[in-house]
Amino acid sequence: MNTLPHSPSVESNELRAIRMRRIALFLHDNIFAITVLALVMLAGLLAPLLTSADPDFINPGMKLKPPSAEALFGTDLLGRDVLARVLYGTRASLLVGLLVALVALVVGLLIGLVSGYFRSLDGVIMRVMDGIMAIPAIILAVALVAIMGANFITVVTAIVVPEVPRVARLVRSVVLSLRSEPYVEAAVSLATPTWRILLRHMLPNTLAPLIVQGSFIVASAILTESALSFLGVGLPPEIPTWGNIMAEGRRFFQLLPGLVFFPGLFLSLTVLAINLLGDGLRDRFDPKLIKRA
Amino acid sequence: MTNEANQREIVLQVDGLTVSLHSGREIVSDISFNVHAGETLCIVGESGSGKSVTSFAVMQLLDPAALRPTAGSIRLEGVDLLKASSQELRRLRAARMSMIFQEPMTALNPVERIGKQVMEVLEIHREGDHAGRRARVLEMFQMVKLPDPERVFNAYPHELSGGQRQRVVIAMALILRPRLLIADEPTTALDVTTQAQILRLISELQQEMGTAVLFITHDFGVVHDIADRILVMNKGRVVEQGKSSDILTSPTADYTRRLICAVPSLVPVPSRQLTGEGVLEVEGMAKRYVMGSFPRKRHFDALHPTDLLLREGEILGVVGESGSGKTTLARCIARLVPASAGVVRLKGASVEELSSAEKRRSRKHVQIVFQDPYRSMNSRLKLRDIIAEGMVNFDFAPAEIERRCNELVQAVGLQPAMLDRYPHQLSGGQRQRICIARALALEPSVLICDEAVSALDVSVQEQVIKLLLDLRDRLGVAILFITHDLRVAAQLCDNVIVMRNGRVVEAGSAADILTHPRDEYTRYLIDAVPAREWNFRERVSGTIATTG
Repeated sequence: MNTLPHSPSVESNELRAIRMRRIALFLHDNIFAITVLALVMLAGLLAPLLTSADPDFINPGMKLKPPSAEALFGTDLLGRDVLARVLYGTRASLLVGLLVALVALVVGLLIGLVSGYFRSLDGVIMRVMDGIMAIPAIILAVALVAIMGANFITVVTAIVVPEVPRVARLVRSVVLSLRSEPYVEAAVSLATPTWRILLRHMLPNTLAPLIVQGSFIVASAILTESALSFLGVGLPPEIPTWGNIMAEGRRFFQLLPGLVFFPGLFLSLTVLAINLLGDGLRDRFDPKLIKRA
Repeated sequence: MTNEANQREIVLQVDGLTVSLHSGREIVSDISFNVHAGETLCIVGESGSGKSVTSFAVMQLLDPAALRPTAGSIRLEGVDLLKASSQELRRLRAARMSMIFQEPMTALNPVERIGKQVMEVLEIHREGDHAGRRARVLEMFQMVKLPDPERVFNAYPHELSGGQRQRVVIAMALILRPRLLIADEPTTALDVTTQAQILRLISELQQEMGTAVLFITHDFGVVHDIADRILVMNKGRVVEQGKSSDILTSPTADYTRRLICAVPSLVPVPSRQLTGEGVLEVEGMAKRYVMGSFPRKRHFDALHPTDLLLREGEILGVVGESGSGKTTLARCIARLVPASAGVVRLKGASVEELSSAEKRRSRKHVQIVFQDPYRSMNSRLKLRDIIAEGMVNFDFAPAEIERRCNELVQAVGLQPAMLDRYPHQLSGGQRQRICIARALALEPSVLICDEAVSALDVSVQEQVIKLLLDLRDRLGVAILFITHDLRVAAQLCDNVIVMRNGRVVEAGSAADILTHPRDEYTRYLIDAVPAREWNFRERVSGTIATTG
């Protein structure tokens, strides 16, 4: 089927053309996810330009107003502008999502490399990972926050811990299959030190599945962070996040549904877009799933 | 036979077919051929000749992101496949034309029972009821001579051997009695003995059903045994086509002649006097795999205690079928897997007695070249870094490394300018040369070649064999040459050991073993070599002498 990429008769500029075509195809297939994500990111980055309102400015005279020209999404119990809070909340959510993914990938990568390559450590490490996976993520997070107090680092740690085993397993599986590749065995017989084999020959090949996995982690971390904030054990309440905006608004849901609806809409669209993009990346990277038209 | 075939109806008619990349470059240019009912047309060519692209174009299985047919027509019993809708194509595939692939391991779904998979073909084409389908599948299994069809019907693919799986694939391909069967290197992944059986099976079924067979292969031995007519391709073009016997004995094109002459002869080269000292001594090496745990502990002896001695400048061939333990032996010697028992002495010094750091450093004395040149190199590194890897590990000075890289690349017949390239920019043969250069960088005393020329085209294979002989002469390196190909062993090896089921069944000089095999199994192996009695080089050069 893919007789081409191996064939020496194909010039490298033609390979590049094929690669470019595949990238164009990828952009075309994932246009919705990419557009939504770009808009959400811009909303977070450009929040000060998009609204003149201060998300923390308390205005008792304006409390619980329905959407109007001056406050598009309405105002909350303290008279704060909900649009401004949702836009600034984007920052917290995306930051937590990206940071969690980054930390979980790095830690999981290290554990997975070690576990996959050193067979003697594999059993112990993977049983610990199984143990962590057996604890429901939210409960673990609530417990950690309860012990260590609600701040940014605690929340990120609490969301990272349950994600690590999944990454570690993924990396381990890649390493296990690479161990028997001839080029790795050639490196072994050239007396290449183990750390160099891991770094040079194994790590680069784990990147593609890690990018895919990373995108799913971003989505689930954003959801978990919102859930924690909603439960009141997430980021400190003075930082606006989609979760705590919804938590504060839920008491007035029947009066002003927008207080829950707008942050909820941002949250669902973002998570949906990231998951779609992750699916797209997986289709792109996983040769088993490359479909013919 | 061919005269008769010419009068038979034409099943497949390919006319002026051109397949191009999107950039417009043609991969297959203007090729035309016919396949008649009951006839076998072999498309022969080296990798990159476009033979597989042609067969995929006929089945309409080309990757649309890369390739598309741009001119010509492909007619199956008059229907132009290039103009057919995907629904029409679906109806034609399996029913009117079907295909057998190279790798019987991956052609079957590993998680579904064999019978169900074959029945699915009938189901999709709405043939009969459940009981009727089952009966037809069992009948077909009988036709392809599967032992105990009932058992195979309920088995999963992993429970069958490679040959049995290929029989299932053939049964699946032929169950709807298609008019055209495309076989793309169907026996390349099989042992010679199994290959001989499968080739016989294909021609028997063809006789019985009158199927037209389009057979893609690179192996002239197979061509000799199976083809009625031959079409030779090179770089996407037809070099020549004609009757099998004509092309094999008096090819008109130089390219064809070169290809045929490159097929190694089964007549062994005369033995040399070996005077060198022993560099590698192996005593009682064994490998036992233990599976499961206490109550159901089982074990499997991949290698029974084996001795061998390799002298300086000697090439020792290890031949046998898959599962014979030859690769296990190589991997134990290279210490890629720990042996269960046995002593390895390198230049008289036992490896066992070394400290672990010394053990690691002593790896430089034994280097290995693998079968698959595409997977033997990290595709993300430049050739310079690939060759330099061992030298970096042994702390050579950068200037020294650079000098050695240039030397090595030239020693294996490539240009130093190539050092800045990446593996994907090389052909299979060039890659294998780089692998050899990498293995030689540390000046090993033993080079293990594990099927190192098996994946290469014959002309490239010939060059690599010459290179190995040349390196042996210049460097005095001893070579342990693992192969299943007796032709290659005949041309290269001083001594040969024949292995079966983890045991050595016969050992001796190559000349003795290949001409006067004492063991029954060795004889069986030699008999299975395709076109055994056919010494390609002599037949063709004989013709050159008479015509020129």
